[in-house]
Amino acid sequence: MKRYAVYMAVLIFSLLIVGCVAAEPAGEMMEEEGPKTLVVGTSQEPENVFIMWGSTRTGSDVMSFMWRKPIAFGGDNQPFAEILESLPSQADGTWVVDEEAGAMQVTYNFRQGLKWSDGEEITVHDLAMAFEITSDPNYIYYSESFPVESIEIVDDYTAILHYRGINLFPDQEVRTHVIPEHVYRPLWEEAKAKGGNVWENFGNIEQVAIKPVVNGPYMMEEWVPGSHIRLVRNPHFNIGEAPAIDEVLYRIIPDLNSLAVSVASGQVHLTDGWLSLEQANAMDSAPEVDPLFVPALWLEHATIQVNRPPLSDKLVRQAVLTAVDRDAINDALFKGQQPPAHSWINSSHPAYNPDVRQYNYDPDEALRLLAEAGYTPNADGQLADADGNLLEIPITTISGDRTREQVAALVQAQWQEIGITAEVNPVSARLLFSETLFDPPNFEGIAIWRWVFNARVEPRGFWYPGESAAQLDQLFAEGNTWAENERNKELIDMIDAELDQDKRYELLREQQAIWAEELPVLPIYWHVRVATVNTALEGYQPADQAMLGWNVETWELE
Amino acid sequence: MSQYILRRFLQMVPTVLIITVAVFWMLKLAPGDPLDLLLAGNPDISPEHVEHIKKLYGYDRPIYEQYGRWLWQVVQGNLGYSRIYHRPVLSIIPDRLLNTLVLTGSSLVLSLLIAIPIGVYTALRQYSILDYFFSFLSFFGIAMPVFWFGLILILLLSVQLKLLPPGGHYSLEQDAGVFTVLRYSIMPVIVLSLFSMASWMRYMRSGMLEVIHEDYVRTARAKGLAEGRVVVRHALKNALIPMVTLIALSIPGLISGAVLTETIFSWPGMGRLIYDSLINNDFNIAMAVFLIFAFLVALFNLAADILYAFIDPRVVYT
Repeated sequence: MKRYAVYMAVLIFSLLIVGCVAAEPAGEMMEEEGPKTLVVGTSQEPENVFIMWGSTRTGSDVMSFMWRKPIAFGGDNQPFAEILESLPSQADGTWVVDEEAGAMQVTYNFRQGLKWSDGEEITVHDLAMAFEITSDPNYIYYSESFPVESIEIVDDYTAILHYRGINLFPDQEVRTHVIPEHVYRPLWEEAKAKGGNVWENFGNIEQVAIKPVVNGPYMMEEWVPGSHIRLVRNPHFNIGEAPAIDEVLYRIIPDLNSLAVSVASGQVHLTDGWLSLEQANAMDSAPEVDPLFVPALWLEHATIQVNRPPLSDKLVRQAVLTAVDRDAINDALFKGQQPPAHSWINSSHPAYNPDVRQYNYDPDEALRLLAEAGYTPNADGQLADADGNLLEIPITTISGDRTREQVAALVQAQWQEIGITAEVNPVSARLLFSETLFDPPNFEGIAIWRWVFNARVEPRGFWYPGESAAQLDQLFAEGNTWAENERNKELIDMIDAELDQDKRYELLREQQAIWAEELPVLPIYWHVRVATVNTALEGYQPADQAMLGWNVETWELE
Repeated sequence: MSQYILRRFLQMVPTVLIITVAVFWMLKLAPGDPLDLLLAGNPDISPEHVEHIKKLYGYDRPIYEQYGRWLWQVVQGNLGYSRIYHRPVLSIIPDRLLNTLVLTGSSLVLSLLIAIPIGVYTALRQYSILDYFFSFLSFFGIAMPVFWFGLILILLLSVQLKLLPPGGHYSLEQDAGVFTVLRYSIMPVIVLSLFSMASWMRYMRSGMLEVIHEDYVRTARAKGLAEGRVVVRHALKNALIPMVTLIALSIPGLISGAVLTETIFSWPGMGRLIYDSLINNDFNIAMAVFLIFAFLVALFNLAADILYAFIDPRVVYT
C-alpha cells in the first residue's frame, strides 16, 4: 500500500511537469501562431510614458514606440522632420534670424491629416498645448532658459515659434512636443483648479502617466508594474507606414544576469543599453543573438575637486592623468572597444580637435610633472610635498557598478605604482548624486561617473565656470586656473553666437585645446552602447542620437 | 482567552505606531530626497526652481510635520500615490501581495510536505544510508546561495533544455491557465523552497529525535499501540510544537517576499516592491509596505501564541 502511494505520487508529479512543459515549450513561445510579438528586455521600470515627462532611460525607450515629435533624429544621427513637412531652414524662409535685433523666429508647417490614437487630427494647437505646460512653473522640467518664448498660431497647420534671442539649433530642437489638446487641456485645467501641487495632480491621472492618447505606431494596452508593458498597434497611426509587428512586449527583468540569460535563451529579442560589454561578448555561445556596439557620446570621466590642493594645481591634474594607462584599461576590461578620451568631444564628431594635448601613459613624465608641482618621493617611496604631506587622492566611485569598481581599482593600482596615495571609496549612486558631488566641502579627490553629451556639442552647460546650470558648477569656483581662464569663457560666448557651423567648429577646436591643457575633469574613455538583437528581428537601426524605436514601422520579425 | 486576545490587539496599536515613526525617521535619514535624482538629470533646471518643486512636494518641511501629514492621510484610509508608478499605493499592493502569496505560499506548502515526512523518517532511521543522504541534501540546501542556484537552474532548464521560461510572471501570457502558472512558478518555487526545506528538515529530525526517547513514547509502545500511531499521535504532535513557532514567525517573511528570488526570476512580488521603493525613494510605497509588515508580524506572533494553547494543553491564557 505504502509503495503504491509512493508510485502514484511520483507518477502524478511527473505528469504535472510533463503537462506544464508540453503545454508550451519555452523555446517555442515566440514562434507560435497568433500575434507577432516583439519582446524587448529592460532592467528598469519606466516612471511614466508621458512624452513631456520621461526621466528614465526605459521611459524614453518605451515612449519611442508610442510618440512622434515635430523633429526627431534618425539612424544616421541626423535630424529629420517627423510631424513637420520639412526641417526649419534659412534657405526656405522657415528660419528667420534678425541678428541686429537679436531675435529669431521659426515656422513650423505641420503635415495635414495626421491622427492621434483616438482618431482626432494632429494640429499646431497640440504644439501650443505642450508649450503652455512647458512654460508653466508648475511643470516639473520648467526652465527659464527654454529657447522658445512664445508660439503664434497662424492656422491649424502653421505656427511661428518666437525664440528668446538667437538659437543655433532650431532644426535639431527635440524638446518641442505635441500632446492632444482636446484630451489634456481639460485635465490640465482641472489639475490647476485643484491647487496645491499642480504637476502631481496632473501626473497622477491615468490618462497622463500610464495610458496617454498618443500619435506613434503603438499605444498602451497593459502595464503590470514590476512585470511587463504590452503595447499594441495604434489603429489610427499614419505618420509613417503601419508597423509589421503586432505587439511590443517590454519585459522588466531587474537582474542583468537574468536578462542576459533571457536573451541567450531567445525569450527576449532586443535589449539596448542594459547589458555590459562582457555579457554581450559572452553571447558567442548563442548563435541567434547578434551583439551590437553603438558608438555613444557618453564620456566616462573623473570629476575633480579643483578648488583645493592637490588637484587645484593643473600640473598635478596633468600628471595623474599621464599616470593612468587608459589603453591597458581598455584592453583589460573592454577588449579594445572603449578607447581613451582625449577631449570632451568624441573623435567621430566633425568638431573634434585631434591636435589637443594627449596624455598617453608615461609614469616617468608623470613623476617629472609632479616634481615640478612640488611632490617628490619620500623615504617610503610615497610622493609628498616639501612639508612632508602625502599626495593623497581619494577615488570615489559608484558601489555595485562592477565596471566602475574595476576601473577605479586599476587607476588606484597605477597611481600607487608611482607613489600616489589613493584609496577607493565606493558609494551608492544615491549618495554620489545627492551629497558627494553636490557638497564641495565634503568632496575630495576624484569621482568616476559619466556624462551624456548630444551631437550639438554645446559647451556652456558643462564648461563655463560660474554659469553652468549644473550644480557641479560649484566645483569650478574662483581661485583656480580653469575658472580664471578668460579665453575659455570668451570662446564659449562666441560659440553660442556663431550661426555658421564651420566657424563654430573652429572655435570649438580652440576651446578643446584649452580644455585639454587645463583638464577641469579627467577624461577616461568613451562608452559604447551595447545592444543585443535576435536574428529573427530585422530593421533595427540604433544610433547614439536616435530613440530606440524611431523606425519601428520598418521592423520585421520572422 | 478573548480578553487576552483583545488586550494583545490593543497593544499592537502603539507597537505599530512606534515602528512607523522609526521607519519614517530612518527613511528620512537616507541621503537625498525623491526629487534629487530626477532633478540632477536635468541640466536646465535652476536651483531656485529645485527649491520651488521641493516646497510643492513638502520636502522642505520638518520631519515631524511630514510624518504627521502621512499619518493623517493613513487615518483617512489614504496611503497616497506612488511616485514611481503614478498609481494609488492601495492599487499596487494587492496584486504584488497576491503574486508573493502564490510564490511563497507554494514554497511553504512544498517545504512542509517534503521537510516534515523526511525529518520524521530520518529521525526514525537515524544513521541509515537515507539519513546520510538527506542530511547531505539539507546541508547542500542550507549552504547554496539563492542567486547562484537560481541562475544554474535557469541555465539548465531554460537555456540548455528549453523546458521552462527563464523568468517572468504568468501574466505575460494573455490567457494564463493552470499549466502556464505552474510553468512560470516551478523554478522560483524550487529555489525559494530549498533553504526552508533543508533547514526545516533538520529541525524536524532533531525535534523527533528528542521526543522518541521520552518516557511517554516508550509507555505508548508498551501499551501495545501500533508504531504508526505512536509516531503520529505521541511523538510527532510533541515534536511539532517548536515547528509551529518557526512556521508562524516565517509567515510575515513569506508575505514580505523574497527579494533575491523575485529579482532573479523577474517575479513582481512584495520583495521587489519594497526594494524598488527604497532605491527610488518612493516613500509612500515604502511606508505602506512597512506598515503592513509591522501589523502582520504582530498579528502572527499573536497567532503563534494562540496556537500553543491548542497544541500544548499545558499553555492556558487568562
